Amino acid sequence: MKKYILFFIFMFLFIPKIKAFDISDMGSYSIVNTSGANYDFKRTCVYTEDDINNSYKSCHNNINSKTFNQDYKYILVTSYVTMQYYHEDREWIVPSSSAGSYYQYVPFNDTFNFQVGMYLTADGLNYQCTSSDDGRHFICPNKEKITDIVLQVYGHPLGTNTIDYDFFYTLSLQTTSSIYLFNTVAEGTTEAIKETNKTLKDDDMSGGNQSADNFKNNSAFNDTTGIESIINLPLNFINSLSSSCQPIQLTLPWLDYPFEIPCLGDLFVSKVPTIANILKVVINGFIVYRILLGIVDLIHSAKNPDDDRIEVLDL
Amino acid sequence: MINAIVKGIFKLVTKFINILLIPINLLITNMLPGFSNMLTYVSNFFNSIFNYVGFIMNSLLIDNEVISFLILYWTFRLTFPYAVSLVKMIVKWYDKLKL
Repeated sequence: MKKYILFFIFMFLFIPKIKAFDISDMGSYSIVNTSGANYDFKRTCVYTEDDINNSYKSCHNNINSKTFNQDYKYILVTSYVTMQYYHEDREWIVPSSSAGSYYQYVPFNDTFNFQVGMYLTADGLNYQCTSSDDGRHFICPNKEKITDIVLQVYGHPLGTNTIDYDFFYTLSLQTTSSIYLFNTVAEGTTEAIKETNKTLKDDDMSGGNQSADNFKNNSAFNDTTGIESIINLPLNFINSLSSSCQPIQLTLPWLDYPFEIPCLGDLFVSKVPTIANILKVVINGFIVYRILLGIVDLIHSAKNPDDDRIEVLDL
Repeated sequence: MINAIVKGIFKLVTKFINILLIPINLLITNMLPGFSNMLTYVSNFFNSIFNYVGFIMNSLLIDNEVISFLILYWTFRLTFPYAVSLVKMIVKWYDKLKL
């Protein structure tokens, strides 16, 4: 029973953490597509006294963006809207309104105020995008693709008792809103994923050569006492096995006469090639034969399911 | 991917050996400073001998291809039992866990 419990605990160690998507997770996201989605407009609406009591007469501007037809889910981002209010020689600048929210401005008294706001819809009014907590972004629900987006900026008076004010005022809406289209997986992340996929498919092993060389020539270790170089001696021996023959340069003692011992194998082959080649066949054939016997023996021992010996440890 | 794995294995082995040798290195450095010179002489001696291995192999008429095959064989012989043992261990676990 204990084994079962340990096994299941072990399995749960590999379950990744589930994390909901949050716009703050996008980090240093970059723009995917802004073409035709930058807006800089100013709309002026003139209201008369009769309009005051009609709170639904909005001064608004619908901005139809380009039609997008990409199979991505988007986050739509926009900036703030500024509304200016003029009345005779007086002017108020209404503070910026956050995306998707109302801003109630009360210039005179409790009975009269303005409302300014900004809405973003996509693919029809039924697809309402909401504002993020910080008021800087519109977040549209996940959808396979967004084909059309509409930014509506509006402002209108809300009045219940304006009889005391002879209004003839101008309401001016101004925005420099920009709508940026973001993939839900930000472009930077996409690039990182592409890079990761490229790495996964990369079958190049040349980088291991340098690591192996560093390992063999002892430069990978912080060898301060020489122990590492002794540990590496077998590797150095294997490395030297495949090295080519170098003639031995010697100097005769006392006579101080340099001489060279050539590679005996090459000398033998050059002088008596027939005998040398026969000997090479016999010697190399014998070694290869022994190696093949060893491989067969190794595989034969591995076929025994009851044999738990690790032969390396027996060496 | 394979590149990173191979390099990672080398780094892992290197770090592992370094960690294992830290106390021995500290002991030699602090208590037996002359001992490191002796170890260096030993390794230099063997490395000097290894310089003539190519000459010896050539003199014995052993081809480089055969030597490469020999190295591959020993690589296989030293790694294959581990792989087999691992498979056997997994099969045993499966046999014990299966209902």
